[in-house]
Amino acid sequence: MIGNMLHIEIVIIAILASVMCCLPGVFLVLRGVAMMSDAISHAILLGIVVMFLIIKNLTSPLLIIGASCAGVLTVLCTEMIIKSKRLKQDAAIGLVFPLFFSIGVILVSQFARNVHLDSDMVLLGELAFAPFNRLVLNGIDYGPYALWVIGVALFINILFVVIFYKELLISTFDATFATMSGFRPVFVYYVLMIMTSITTVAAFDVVGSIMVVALMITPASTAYLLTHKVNNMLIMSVIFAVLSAIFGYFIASYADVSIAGSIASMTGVFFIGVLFCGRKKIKKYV
Amino acid sequence: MCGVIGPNGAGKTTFIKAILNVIPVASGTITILGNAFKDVRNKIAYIPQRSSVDWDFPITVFDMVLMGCYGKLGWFKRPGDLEHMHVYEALAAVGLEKYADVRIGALSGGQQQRAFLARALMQNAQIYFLDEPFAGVDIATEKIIINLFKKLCDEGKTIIVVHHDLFTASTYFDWVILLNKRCIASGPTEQVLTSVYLERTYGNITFFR
Amino acid sequence: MGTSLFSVDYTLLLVLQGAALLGIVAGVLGSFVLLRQQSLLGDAISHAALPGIVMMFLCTYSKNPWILLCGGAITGIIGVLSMHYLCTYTTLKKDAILGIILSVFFGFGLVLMTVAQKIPTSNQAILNKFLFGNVSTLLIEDISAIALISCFIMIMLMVCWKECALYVFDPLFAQSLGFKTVVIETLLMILLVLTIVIGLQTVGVVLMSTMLIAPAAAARQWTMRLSSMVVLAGFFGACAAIIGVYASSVIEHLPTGPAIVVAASCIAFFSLLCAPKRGIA
Repeated sequence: MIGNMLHIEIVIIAILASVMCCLPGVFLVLRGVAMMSDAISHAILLGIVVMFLIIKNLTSPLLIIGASCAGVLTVLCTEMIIKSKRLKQDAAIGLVFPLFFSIGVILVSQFARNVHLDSDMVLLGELAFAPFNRLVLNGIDYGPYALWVIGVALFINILFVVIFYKELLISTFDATFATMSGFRPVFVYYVLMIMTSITTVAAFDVVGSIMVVALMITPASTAYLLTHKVNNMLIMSVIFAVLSAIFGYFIASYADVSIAGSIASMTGVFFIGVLFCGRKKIKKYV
Repeated sequence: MCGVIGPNGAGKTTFIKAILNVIPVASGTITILGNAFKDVRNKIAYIPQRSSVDWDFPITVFDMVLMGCYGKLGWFKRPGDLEHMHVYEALAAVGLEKYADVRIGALSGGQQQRAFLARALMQNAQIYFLDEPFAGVDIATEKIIINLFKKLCDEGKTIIVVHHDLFTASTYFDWVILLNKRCIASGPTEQVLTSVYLERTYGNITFFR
Repeated sequence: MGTSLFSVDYTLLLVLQGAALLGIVAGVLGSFVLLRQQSLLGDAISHAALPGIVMMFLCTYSKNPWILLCGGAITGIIGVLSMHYLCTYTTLKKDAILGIILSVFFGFGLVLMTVAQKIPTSNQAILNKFLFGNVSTLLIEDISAIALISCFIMIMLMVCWKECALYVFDPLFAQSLGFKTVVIETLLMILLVLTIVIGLQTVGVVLMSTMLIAPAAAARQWTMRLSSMVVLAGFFGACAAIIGVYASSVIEHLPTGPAIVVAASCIAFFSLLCAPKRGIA
């Protein structure tokens, strides 16, 4: 009975995490900045470490704020470099986040060696331990802490996508027209980046950066191959993400392998499946 | 209907962009309908020369044209049935009714241009700015577009077109602006499209009139 | 540590040589990668190498890093080929393709790593070293291997310099002149994979991309000519590597990989801020 509860809790966390990731992921893919998810998911280590060194508490929600700041800072620095025209977008991205990540790793090695905060964890996470870290208020067990964190972040993401759908669509599709129509594409872009940061931060403890990147980009890309409407793309991404989470988890628990890696691999399996069997968008040769 | 004409590099696109506040002005002020640009933004529609659009974007013609009403709706409001009806009207006006559910990447060059026009129609603007709308477009599409412009002019709208072809300019436009890094002439077509001004704009080239 | 800041022991000298070689080669090859706007390709290939490394370990149980890196090279090349396929046959954008390959391959590598960790030998530690690199375990054989591969890469580049330079600046023009761009692209990809292979031991999967990007990005700010840029990038790369290794040997608890990355990034940011304006990129 307890064993089943454990499974169920982990699966629920995994499902919520996957939906939470694929929502901003759809717009990152549409916008052509998918690698920002990789960048942000590595750079937040710096934010977490700095915040930890200030407040000396690993479970505080303030860590999320620190990490989100690091995420936004990464985007700001990258954008500044791109605007200066000294480097193109790919080089700018690839220059900023490894620096932040390295500084984070160095800070951990210097000041936080004995703490359960290591770069392995940022990369890999450990979903299996999630149910053991519970949110207990006034003696009542509200369930795994991670469930609440991810649940709240998921809610925020859904809220953003619903409220800003039209603005996201027009800013991503045609920024000039968006400006002409009175919208602010730059503002919307930063909203998207904040969404990405919050998502990555909420997920890092349990699933690590690699799974976040996989869940942000791959289900969205799989859906991209199948449809030419953004609403359908959102719905299909969620379906693929959830399926990847469920199948990935069960394969991982059956074979006793890394859950995060398994889920990430499953996103790839679905992608390959759609690539070879689905109605794919073949490039026309001009 | 006004044509902005000049050789390459004359600054025609820059001229339009300056009016529309896309690039900063070096000196002087611009008023549109008596106001600054941002106050009359809703009355202006602009179709740029080469669209910054990603043709692989998963969006249908219908949804793209629907975006034309976003400006009037403002932040957070959703388009409703009324807006959907307007989209069909706009598509009919440019002859693309049958393409509503087609993804934009599947359109030909002329159809893409017409789709942008439909989107501009949705904006229900007073003044339309178009940068080289006939570039790379076939004769049939050009005729559809010009008829649409004439209808809009009859409704009292103003259409300002950056144009490259002198021969069609004389028949299309009733007002012409000649530019070559500065304004050479601006006035009714018959008065402006004369060899004197044309030579000053283009240099010493023989024109068949 | 030694009696003075400047006394260098034998191991350190070895490590400095290896790192410097890596810095030079990564800087040189990174110049081509940067100009072709494929900077994040290094990141993707590095991550794609992980499953290969682990699979090789599962097949051979070897402790020899070079054997493992062969596996890494294989999956690295498979990753490149997959990216090329996706680029040609789907409308997905480059960034999404990079992200997919990076995360899926690496995720699969993680799965394999947990499989390997269950095997009752003590050799798995070697796998962890590829995540972040561990320069201090470089032996003289490793340095010789690094030197050999580096020489090969440099010789190939020198021999095909004209073709590579032309291809980087204007691939269509190169094709119209009769050069088979496929061959040049393949050559550059293979050299890139080799560079990453030697780099994985030093800085690890996560940080390898900086070794390719930062020195080249720095060099780009100072010159417009490819030949100067390549030389400068190699120089910056070597400097960053030497500074990083030395700093990590002198300062306690300073991991080498991140130290090299910080050094390289500083050089890059300094160049971005202080180099004279050279016009639009």
